[in-house]
Amino acid sequence: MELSQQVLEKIEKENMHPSSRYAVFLKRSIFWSLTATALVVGSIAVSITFFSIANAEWDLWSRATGSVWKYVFFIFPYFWLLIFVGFILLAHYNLRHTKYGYRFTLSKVIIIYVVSTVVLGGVFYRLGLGHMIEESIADSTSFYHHLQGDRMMWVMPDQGLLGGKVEGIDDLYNFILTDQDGRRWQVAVSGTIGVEYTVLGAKIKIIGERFGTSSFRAVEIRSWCGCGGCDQQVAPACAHATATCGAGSGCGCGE
Amino acid sequence: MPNGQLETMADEELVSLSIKKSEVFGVLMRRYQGRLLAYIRRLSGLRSEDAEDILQESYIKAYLNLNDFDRKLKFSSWLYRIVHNETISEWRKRKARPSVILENEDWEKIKSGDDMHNEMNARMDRARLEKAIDRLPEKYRDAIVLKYLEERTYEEMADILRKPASTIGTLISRAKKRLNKILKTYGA
Repeated sequence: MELSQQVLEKIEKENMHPSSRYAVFLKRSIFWSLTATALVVGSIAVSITFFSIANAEWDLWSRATGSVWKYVFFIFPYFWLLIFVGFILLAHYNLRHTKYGYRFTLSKVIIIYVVSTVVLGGVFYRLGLGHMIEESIADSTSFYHHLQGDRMMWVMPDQGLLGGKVEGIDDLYNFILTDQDGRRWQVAVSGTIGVEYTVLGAKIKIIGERFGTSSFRAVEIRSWCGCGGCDQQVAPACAHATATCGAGSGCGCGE
Repeated sequence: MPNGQLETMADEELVSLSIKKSEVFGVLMRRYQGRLLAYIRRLSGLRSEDAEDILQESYIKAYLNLNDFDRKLKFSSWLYRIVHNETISEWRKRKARPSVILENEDWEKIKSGDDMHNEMNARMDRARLEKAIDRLPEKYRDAIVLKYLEERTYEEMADILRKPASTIGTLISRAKKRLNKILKTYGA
């Protein structure tokens, strides 16, 4: 029997039918959705990177690492860079499975992806979306701050850097703070810079010095969202204020 | 519709009709059977019966996915792609290195003065070329078979192999260089 006849008989015998248009549409949509997801995740990574760079507290490099270059390498958001590269490859893989995606070379995909994520990431950054997502990741995991140098530096009490959540206020100059590792600190304020950030439940950054095992003297208090981030209304401590960046003293919030 | 009328219709029209009526698909199958069987054999070196099994499976896959056929592409490219993938997956199942068989007409195509032959050793014969193609990595063998034996355009090759057109050019050029090197090194 002729080959085509055999195939037709098999089709009839096994009651085969072409997949429906809807099934085909669904299959195509899945790959497009995954490509779009890769683009959005990449944009979030870019917006968090922008935020990290803009709020890197550059005036504290000597305290944190002792050298500017070490500080640059220390605060660089490697984790998000890794996510970014991973999602470029994912976008390329998904795009290859779309209708005409295979016509794009990897280099073309990288260029399109980088340009799109930088633009979209810039928009996310302006909207405070990236930082908001980063905060929720940090709040719901116990390890995230170990991956990000700009967060890890605020668990360095011996270098005079401490950050966390205000858990209790005794009076204007004494409060209790829980750091990102979950350790409780008794903080005594010895200056007046940034005392307005000491609000119950707010996250803050403190520059000062450690004394005793769990006591810290605060010389300066900064908003958790950092310089340039205060106007984004993403951290409770900054919601009431606008950023004022002072030369040498980092930034604070003004009414 | 009379069979004679179907025979003269374009592939794309037959695809639309096949979705509604499976018998029409028979016209498309007959139209490409010879070419595709030769392609499977060129690509894999399999016996005719095995090549027919692969083609049968490919036709069923094509039939089941008729709604996935994009009318902006050539139907032949789409069908070649399915057959290509099916042949490759059969190789991998068998875990055996395929060996290319050049038919008389294939040898004539290569000898007929195209650019590949000009770059090859003038004393090259068919057996040597078969051996040399056998030694090529899979991607280069695909490129050589499609370009010189199936006589596909770059655009068609891009659609069959699902690669960017610019990559196809590079692939062919590298395949030719590799083939030359093999011929020189092994005196294949």
